[in-house]
Amino acid sequence: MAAAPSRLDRRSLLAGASAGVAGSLIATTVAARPIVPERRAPALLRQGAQVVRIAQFGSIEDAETTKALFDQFTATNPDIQVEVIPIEAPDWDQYFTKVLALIASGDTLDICFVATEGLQLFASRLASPLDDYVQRDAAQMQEYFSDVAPSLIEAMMYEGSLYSLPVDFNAANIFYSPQQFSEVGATMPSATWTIDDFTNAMRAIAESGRYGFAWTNRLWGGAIPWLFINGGNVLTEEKAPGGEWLWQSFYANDPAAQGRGGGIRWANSQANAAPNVEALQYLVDLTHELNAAPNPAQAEGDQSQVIALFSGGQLASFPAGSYLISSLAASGVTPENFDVTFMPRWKSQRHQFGTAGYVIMNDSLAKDAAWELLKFRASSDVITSVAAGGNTTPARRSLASDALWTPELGPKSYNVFYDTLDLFPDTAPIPAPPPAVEMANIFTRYVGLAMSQDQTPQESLDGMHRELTDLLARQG
Amino acid sequence: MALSDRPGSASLPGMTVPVSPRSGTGSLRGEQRREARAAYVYLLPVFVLFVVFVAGPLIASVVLSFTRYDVVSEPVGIGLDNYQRLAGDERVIISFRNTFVFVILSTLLEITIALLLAVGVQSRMPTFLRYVFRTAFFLPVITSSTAIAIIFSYMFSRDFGVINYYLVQLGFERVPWLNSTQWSLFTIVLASVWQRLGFTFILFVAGLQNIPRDIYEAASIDGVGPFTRLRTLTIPLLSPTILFATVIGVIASLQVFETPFIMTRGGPGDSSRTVVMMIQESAFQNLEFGYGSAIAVILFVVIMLFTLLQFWMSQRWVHYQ
Repeated sequence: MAAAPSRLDRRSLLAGASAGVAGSLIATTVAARPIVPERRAPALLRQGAQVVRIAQFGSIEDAETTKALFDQFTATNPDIQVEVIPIEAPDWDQYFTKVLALIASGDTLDICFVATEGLQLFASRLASPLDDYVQRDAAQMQEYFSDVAPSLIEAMMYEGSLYSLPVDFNAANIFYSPQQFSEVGATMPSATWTIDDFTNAMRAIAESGRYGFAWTNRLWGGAIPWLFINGGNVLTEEKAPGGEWLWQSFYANDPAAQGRGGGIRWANSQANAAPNVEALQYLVDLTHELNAAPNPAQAEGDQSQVIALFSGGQLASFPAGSYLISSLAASGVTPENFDVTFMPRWKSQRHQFGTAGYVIMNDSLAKDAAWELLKFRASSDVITSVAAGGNTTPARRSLASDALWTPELGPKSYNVFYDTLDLFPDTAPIPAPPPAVEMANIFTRYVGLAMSQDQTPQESLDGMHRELTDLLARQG
Repeated sequence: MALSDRPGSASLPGMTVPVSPRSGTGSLRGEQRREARAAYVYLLPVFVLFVVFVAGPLIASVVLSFTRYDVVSEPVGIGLDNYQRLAGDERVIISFRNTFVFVILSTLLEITIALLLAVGVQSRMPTFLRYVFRTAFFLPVITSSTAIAIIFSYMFSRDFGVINYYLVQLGFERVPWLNSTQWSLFTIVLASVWQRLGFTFILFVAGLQNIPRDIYEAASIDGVGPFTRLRTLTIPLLSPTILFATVIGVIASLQVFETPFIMTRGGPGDSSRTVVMMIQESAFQNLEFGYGSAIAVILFVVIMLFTLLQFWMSQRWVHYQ
């Protein structure tokens, strides 16, 4: 008796497998093809209007708010339409990753919201310099630059060119509870307080069974501000050449603009320098010797735990910028219960800041329209509406004091936010070279090891130095 | 036409017997081809999905692993450089070590606890209570891993967590569950086991229901105690299910990502960083897609070897009824 043939014989199986392999190879070829260099699609048009696509950090609601802002522009410029793409992420590094994934998937972006943490990453690969536009519209731009601190502008420059018009910034200031400081008889935080005042206050508050200070292990507002006030930084800082065209045209009479360059170069690691070791040891002691600070949470932008402790009366101070005012109000913290001041003076009182703005993408075919939108977004009215209600500090000095201070929200010393730039002109941006995402990862990893006492500050900063040196060498 | 004249039929006195259509005539082969075509049509959607989402990316990963590719510029072929770098990359080696520790701890805990719970739930109790227990144990499986990881982060916080609150009440020191290289991985194992336990539990409950009751009755008449019954009857008869749960558990553990990512970000240092976190970090944070792909290829090989090893070892201890 002949054996019944199988329904799927060997030949069919081989044919199917071959088809599978061929299909997979086609899929592979498609997946591996370089997308960006080949993308030369015409500018997106909708109903005769040019559509400008903007990547925005935040939720769908944030994107709708942004869209509503730009709609004010398109109402008077009907030939330009705006599409805002919300990109939600816990912190900037993951936002940048998602933007890059979007680009890699072939999506077209004309404008991207970028903070200091990613400015050089974008400027070195993806964004287009604004120099020609700024010089072309110099008369119009004069009003903007005269209102913006030069340190913010320099932070948006890379190798001599300007890549973004900063619209807001946040420096790491100290938010504190006046009641808790006075209850333990500690020196009240002030513009002239010192690291010793701070330490004594922390000791006294810890003895009262509360936390004196709490922070989050991230690039902004983590350990870096303490390195800064102790005269340190994880990377070397040099001025990039160029940029005279901007400083001479718009800041010729501003003493704070003297000596500015074409951006900042963070070329080498100096992570294990003595001031950094000393500053990190100070933070370790604050947690493990004085018991004045909880072990910091790992690398998240979310400060909800800090806010919960502060609003519950269990925490006396923490580092933040004005972006946190609305969250404090939402947690029931009233203006009488908190105020803001500068970081204490150690070897210096140099602060750390991060600024944000929009960049025009290299591949955009709607650059002229994008530039008009950038100027619109940097105008006083628009910055005011975004920064109102304690959401951020406007990049424009004229808006950063009484104009946006809301008595119902506080804080009393609202002017501290912009004074941080004006009173301490050496205040500088977060060190963020082109590989800033990797750098942030290395930084938080080793700070975490020191804070958990698995390594001494010296050991952890030695490790950080090795990895940062490798990283910067690899990036050339 | 008479029924017996139809192709595929044979007539016997008084009855018509259908004949298998696989008998070798030309028209029958045509029918086979039609059947095969129908089968291919039915298979096509799955096949296309498999090619696009499994085979294609798999081959793309292998190809990319021999390149330097940062998404923005064209991939550049660099031969075996990524694999050479990988062999000397201490962080990758640590991530593999962490993953193996995670696999062993989580699989052992999961199988053991799920088995004990399943045996407990199958013992004599009111039916209503049995359903309550089954539902309660299974609920974490359908809860979002992200939500669980966030809640566990709060619970295991050294300074504000409820776990340490009770430990301190009982006179113990605070444990740095998430802030210490000694504890972080173990804490993640606890969170993962809590979430995944329900799936293994349900498998075991189903397996236990397939064991004939008369075997237990016979054992009971022979005076066999509960522990001996578990060791000599339940576990051997449940061994195919245990093998399945182990294979699934090991594969899932080798791919663990979101729980450590949310609870510790892989820290302190790299103490709770897993292989998939390294792949994500290399490819999507550092934009080294070639290097990330090389790590992914190695992980694929490791998963395959682990699975083959388990099937080979199962010949010694799995008993099919």
